[in-house]
Amino acid sequence: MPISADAIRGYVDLMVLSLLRDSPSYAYELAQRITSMSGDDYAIKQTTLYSAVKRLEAGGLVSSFAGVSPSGKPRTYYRIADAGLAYFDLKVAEWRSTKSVVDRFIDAASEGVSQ
Amino acid sequence: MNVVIAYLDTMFSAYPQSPRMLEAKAELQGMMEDAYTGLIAEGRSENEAVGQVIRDFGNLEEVAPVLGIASDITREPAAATSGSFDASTERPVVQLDQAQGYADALQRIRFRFTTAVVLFVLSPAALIGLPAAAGSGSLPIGGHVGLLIGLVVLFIMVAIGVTLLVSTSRETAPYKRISDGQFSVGPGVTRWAETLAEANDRSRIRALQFAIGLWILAPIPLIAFALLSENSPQGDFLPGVGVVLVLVLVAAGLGIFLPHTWSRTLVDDLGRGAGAGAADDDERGIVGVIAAFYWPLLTAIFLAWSFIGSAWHISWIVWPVGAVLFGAIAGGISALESYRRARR
Repeated sequence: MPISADAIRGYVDLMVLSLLRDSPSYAYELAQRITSMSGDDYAIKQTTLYSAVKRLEAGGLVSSFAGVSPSGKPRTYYRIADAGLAYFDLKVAEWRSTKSVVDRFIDAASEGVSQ
Repeated sequence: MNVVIAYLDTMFSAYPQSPRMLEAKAELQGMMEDAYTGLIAEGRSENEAVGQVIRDFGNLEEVAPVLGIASDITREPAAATSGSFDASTERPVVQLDQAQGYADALQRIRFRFTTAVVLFVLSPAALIGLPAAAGSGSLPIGGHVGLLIGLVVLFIMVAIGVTLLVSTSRETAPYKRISDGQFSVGPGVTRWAETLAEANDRSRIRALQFAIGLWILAPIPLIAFALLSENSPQGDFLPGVGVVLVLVLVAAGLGIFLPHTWSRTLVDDLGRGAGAGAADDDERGIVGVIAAFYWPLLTAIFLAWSFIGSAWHISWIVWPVGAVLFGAIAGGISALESYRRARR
């Protein structure tokens, strides 16, 4: 079941930060990795990804530097900042509690159906 | 890749060329270039790659807040959500994601739609061919048996065609508003669709030229067989074969052309919502429909005149006259189309 852009919007930042924790990267590679990790469930739009990295950069959570992509093209690379690492942990905690609250409603609803 | 750059240019042309905008455009172009190169490396055709890259682009409004241009575009219909309304017309606004969904659906159903049309055109072939073959003794069955088999084949082909059409309408049902013209379009949607259509135009026009060639050639076998049958012991068999060949050629033309019409259908459907007027039918709606009725009608005229008037020696004149007329109709329609497009 493909995920709507609205449903996942708040967590694109978290996805980008999690990838940048591994290594610095540039926009297309981030998009590729997000798409391959999501399988067919979520294909990120380029504008969605671009606005996410720019938002993170404006907030001081990532920093950018000029680099060269594996195909030899000049590309803007992004690296996670210390503030970004802390923000990532915060967002992960927030996601866990969001998920547990929503799950409680779903479990209650499915128990209601099975009874 | 030029189509992708042109698309990006038109998307950005509405905004001031500030350094931040130019930087955003350069980086987005880099992403699109990488995506395009990746798709080509995967073995996709140029058309497919361009279509995919443009579909994956997203929505420039989304970038607006981080570029500080939000105030410039708020005059566009209330930003972004799928269910928003255009206050001036009270009609729902179609945003890019819905238009993309519609484009995907049109692309998914194009072969099923084409198969259905081809089946409809071919459905009478057995009914015409088998009794003629039986009557001439070419097949070891009676005329009535041939008629019966022909009818059964006709009903089966029509039934399969209808089933296919029903299954395609299920796919486009979520986008009924778009095909009905009950909407107005969100920013960038029309430009996106036109860029997509331009990317597919070359193959579409080539398919149309090829199909028109087939349609003009379609009557030739019938003329030839009718002339041959005059002194032939096979009697009515040869004209029957000729009619079947006409149907096959008409169906082949439709089979080649119709799969390429989806992107123009998209532009025309979206254009209706943008206020271009309901007269904006596509070529599938005009040339295709004319061809589907024109040749069978001409065949009926030819057969009726020949049999009733016993006029085989002269009735062939229907075909050259009909072919020239069809060329004129098809030419007139495409001239009208390009005039209309030039005026836009």
